[in-house]
Amino acid sequence: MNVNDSKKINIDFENLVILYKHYKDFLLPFGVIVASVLVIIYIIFPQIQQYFNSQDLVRAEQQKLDALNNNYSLLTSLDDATIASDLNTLSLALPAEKDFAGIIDAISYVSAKTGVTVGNFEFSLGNLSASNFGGTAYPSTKIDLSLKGNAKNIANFTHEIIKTMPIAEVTAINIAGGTGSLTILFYYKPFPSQNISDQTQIAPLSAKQLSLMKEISSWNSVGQAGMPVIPSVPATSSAGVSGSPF
Amino acid sequence: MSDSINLVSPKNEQLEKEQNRLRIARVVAFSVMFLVAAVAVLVFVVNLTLPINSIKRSEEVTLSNIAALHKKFVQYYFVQDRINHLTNVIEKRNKVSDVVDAFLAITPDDLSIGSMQIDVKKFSLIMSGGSLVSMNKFIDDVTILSQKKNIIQNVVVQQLSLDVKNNKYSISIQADIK
Repeated sequence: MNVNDSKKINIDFENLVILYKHYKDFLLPFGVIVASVLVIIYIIFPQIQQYFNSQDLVRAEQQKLDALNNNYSLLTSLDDATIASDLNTLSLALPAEKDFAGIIDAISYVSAKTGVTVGNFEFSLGNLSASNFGGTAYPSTKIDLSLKGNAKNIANFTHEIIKTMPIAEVTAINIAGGTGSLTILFYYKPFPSQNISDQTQIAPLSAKQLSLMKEISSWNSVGQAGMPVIPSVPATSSAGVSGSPF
Repeated sequence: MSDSINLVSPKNEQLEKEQNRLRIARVVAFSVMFLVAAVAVLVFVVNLTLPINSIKRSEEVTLSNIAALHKKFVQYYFVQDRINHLTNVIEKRNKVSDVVDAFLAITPDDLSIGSMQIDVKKFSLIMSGGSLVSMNKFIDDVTILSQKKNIIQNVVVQQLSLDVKNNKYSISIQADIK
């Protein structure tokens, strides 16, 4: 007996018709189940995926809205005149560009206050390449000063000059007899890009910052209100930094 | 020949089984269909009810409110910028002025500073005066300054001399700035 022959299935048209007639009532339920599976794969799963994506989006947008609301409440709670005055003071303390007039005024003021006579002085501007102006780099104007006065007065001069606007750092002191020389760096820093989006997050000043603001306000100030170069408002789409040294 | 007569045809039994299967298949199919339809509608409705549009509308309203305060916004932004930079500059400033202040504070009135040289790392001072007691007190105060305050270290008294002609003591001190 040939076993292989017995396993052969004859799928001709007549057999198919017989099978169709026999199972045609099952076709509809089968089709419905297949259609349901397709709906699950192609509609429900993407919808569920979209739900989770939308949830993330809602969360992100809610955070953005909260930040905007915080910005708005902070801005409405601030006094226009106080902000303008603070900005003016801070711009005198840290000018946006080299402030030769401010430096000379500061030296003259401290000289008169401490009874020290200022002799020759010499400015040097250091590295003026763009990389020295961005990020946390602080460009400075270096000045070598010759002073006449007793040691105590010259020491007082260094004490006062670092508490005078614009912000300065004394890097070397040389006192001998009735004369002395100082090397002082006067810092400046260009303002950031003026193309500031209203969506940028702002926060109230911290206690430390408020304390610093108070301290700086108590510094000697020779500059007049409105003198420092404060960037124009509203924002423009200009270059990345303002207050270019040139 | 068999005595018994089979009244239930095996064909009918088979047919009944098939009809049962068909009924189950139909119930399952339509249950699945309704379940899938219900879930699809539910997910669709849930997606529709997510408040993304209302949040975006609120954002637009808030942004337009902020836009009306743009000048104040930019000024405040610059205030923060200046304060941050001033904080950085003050933190990185060297201690030259602090050293001067500290030495001025401990210098007795009857001693005078002959010379003082300070740079970022080194400090040297020559003091003179007629009182050895004051000189001694000054040395004690310098020692305390180097031990307690975080300003100078490695204090070396290089010379303590007496100028007999002028009856003046002179002291030379060197230190490293911390």
